[in-house]
Formats: sequence, structure tokens, C-alpha cells
Amino acid sequence: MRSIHSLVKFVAIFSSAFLLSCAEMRGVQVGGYDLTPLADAGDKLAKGTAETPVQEEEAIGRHMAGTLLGASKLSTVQQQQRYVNRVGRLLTLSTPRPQLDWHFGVLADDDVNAFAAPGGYVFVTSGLLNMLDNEAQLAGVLSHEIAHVTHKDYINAMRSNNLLGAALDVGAFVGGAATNGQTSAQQREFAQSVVNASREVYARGLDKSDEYAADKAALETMTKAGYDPYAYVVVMQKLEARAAKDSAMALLLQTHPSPTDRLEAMGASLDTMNIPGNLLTLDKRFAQSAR
Amino acid sequence: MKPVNSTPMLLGGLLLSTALFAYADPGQTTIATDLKSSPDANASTVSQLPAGQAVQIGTRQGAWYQVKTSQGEGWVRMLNVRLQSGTASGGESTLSGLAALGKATRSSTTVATGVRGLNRKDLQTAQEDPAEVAKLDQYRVSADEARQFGQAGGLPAPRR
Repeated sequence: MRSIHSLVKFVAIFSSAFLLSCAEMRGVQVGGYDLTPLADAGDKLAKGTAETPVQEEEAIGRHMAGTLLGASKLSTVQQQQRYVNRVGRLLTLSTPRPQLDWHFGVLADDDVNAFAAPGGYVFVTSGLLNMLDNEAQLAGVLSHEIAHVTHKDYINAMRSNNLLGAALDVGAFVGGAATNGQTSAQQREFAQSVVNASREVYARGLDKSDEYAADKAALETMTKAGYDPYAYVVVMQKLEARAAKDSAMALLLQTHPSPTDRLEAMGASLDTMNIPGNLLTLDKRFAQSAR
Repeated sequence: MKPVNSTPMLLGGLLLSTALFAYADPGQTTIATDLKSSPDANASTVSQLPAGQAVQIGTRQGAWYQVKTSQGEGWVRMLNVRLQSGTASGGESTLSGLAALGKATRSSTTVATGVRGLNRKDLQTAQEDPAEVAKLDQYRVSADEARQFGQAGGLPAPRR
């Protein structure tokens, strides 16, 4: 046992210093022993203790965003896209991760939904955007998705369900290596793994606890940014009212706790928050910019 | 810019829509709750509403909806109210005259903008679209531009 432990430890140290090394060890035979399982174990050890590097998070996010955009195209209304990016980017400045390369997008889809992807990608459908009355409501929706990014919920869902497998190692390689404009076999393998994982995670959604945490964070972020957090309560009430029989709500309801349960949790969160009196909803700017 | 002579029409529309949208949203209480004379927990109680009390929602102020009920008019905690399905403008439409104007000008119908039905199967079979992702880059906003945008709206300087 001891010798295996120290060997695994050695591999872990070795692999964290040279991320390629474990990948290279796969399939290697030494004295009749296949080193592949050892390489895997070393990788898991190394990865278990390390955060996913930002570079890798962004690479995963870009492929994940691309997968979503394969299912639903961007709205061609430029004013809408600029406006949502301005509101979204402003909100990120009140989060712990303002330095990410944030991208926001409006999906041309009548369904009511919003999505995020690692590294700073946030999407809202035009179906949801059209339900809203003011900038504070939009800020609530965007802040919820921003929280999924800052909490690394999608990365964690992929990891905990082991959906990425070796792609994380390959991703580290791709992210760390200078590329010459060519798509390497590793990059293609990485992309395909992320696309497969993205399909799975988007279709089944995140953990309910992640959704409740994102609602709580959304209320806090928008309040910090100067928006009236009760506007997000209105959004959830609108969703609750539409939920019963509207097919445009189907996927959102399949992948989230019920709006009624979320409203109850949001009420509890708001009770613990210190909410100043001078918060804004910005109805006029929304009316001028969001359509 | 709109022609100057459209202003009276806009103002007329504003007044009309404010009148039309006032208390336009039906809802009901989810639990027994006090109807208050103003949006304040310490305000006097107009009446005690039972769970399931029908209300017509007007404006919102913070955590409170202004409502008309068979028990009188006043304010109730918004979290003790459920919007009736099929309406769902949540009292925001009459929040201010300008809000009502915005609502009126963009019409009450939802414009069909895309494909209906981003469902599980679409996502499970999605093919990556890198060209569409590249379009996102052009819409990106810098932190400085975002700060200016916040300031222009009267929002406080962001802090982490």
C-alpha cells in the first residue's frame, strides 16, 4: 500500500509540474505493467486539489456556448445585444470575478429561459426578455446566470458527473500550449468532449441547490449594483403565473425548482439582506433599449 | 427623432395607458396577510385579508404591491401575493408614467422572434456553432464602458 501511495504521490507531483506527462504515460508498458491506470490516478489526485485554471474554464465555456448556439441562434437585433451586454457587464463589476472575459447574448427563441457557460458566457432568450418591464428585472435574470459562472456550477457539474473525463487534461494542455493556428488532434478531442458534456448538462440542468444559491446571489449582486431586488421577485412571480400551462416554459421547469419554491427561498434571503431605500428599476432606459 | 407633433399623441397615450393599466393585474393572496394603509409594516391596518383573497394589483413600491380588494384598498407584501396566470405584468406596468409609456409603445403582444421550443432534444443533439460564438465577441463591453453606462443610469459606482 505504502509503495503504491508514494508512487501515486510521485505521479501526482510529476503530473502537476508537467501536465502532459500523465497523458504521455497512458498506454506505456514498463516491465509488463500498463502505466495507464496509474497515470489516471495521478491525474485525479492532481486535479482534485487544483482549481480549474481560468484559461481552461474559458476554453470549456467557449465550446459550451457554441453548443448552446448550435441549438438556438443569436437575435440579430444589435441594440438589444449591446444593451444586455452593458447591463450584464456592469453587474459583473459587483461580483468577485469582474476580470473574466464576459460575453452576453440574446437568443432568438420564444421559449422562456436563460443559460450560462463557464468563463463568463450568459444568455437570455428573447421570449424571457419580452416578458420583462424594466432594467432591474433584467439585472435579476442576468445576475442569476452570472452567479452560475462565478460559482463555477457548470464546471462542477461536469466534473462531479465525470462528463469531461480526460478532456480536462487535454484542455490544460491546449490552454497552456502556444498554437500555430492548426487544430490539433488534442484540441478536437477536447472540443468534442466538452460538446458532449454540454449537451448533457444543459439538457438535465444543474442541482437544485445551485439554482437556489444563484437566486440568492442574484438578489445580492443586483442590490449591490443599485437595482431594486424586488424586481427579481416580480420576474419569478411572472414565471410562476405562466408556469402552469405554457409550453414555452417547459425546459425551464424541467431544469429548475418550481418558481413557487424559489419565491419562498428568495423571501427568506431578502429577509436577511440590508436593502437601502434608493434602489432603481430604470423602466425608461429598458423601454428604449431592450426591444 | 420623432416629429414634434407626435408629442400630444404620446402624452395622450401615456394618460390613457396609465388609466387602463392601473390595478390591471389580477392576483390572490397566498396566506392571510394585512392590508396596510401605506407600504410600511408599521402603517395602520386597513383590514386583514384571508388566504385566497382576490386582489387587483396596481403599482409596486419595494416589497409592497398597491391593491384593490373587496376588503378595501391599500398595500400588501408582494411575497404574500400570487399573480393570476395569463396576465403577469406584476404591477410594474404602472410603476411610473414612463413605464406605462414604455409598455404602451411596445404593445401588449409578444412579438414572435424565433423558433419556439428550445427543448431537451435540441440541446442533446446540438452541433457546436463557432461562427455564432464569434459574433458574441463584437458585442462585448469593457469594464469602463459598463461603469459609464451605470453612471448614466444613476446607479452607484460598482464595488465588489
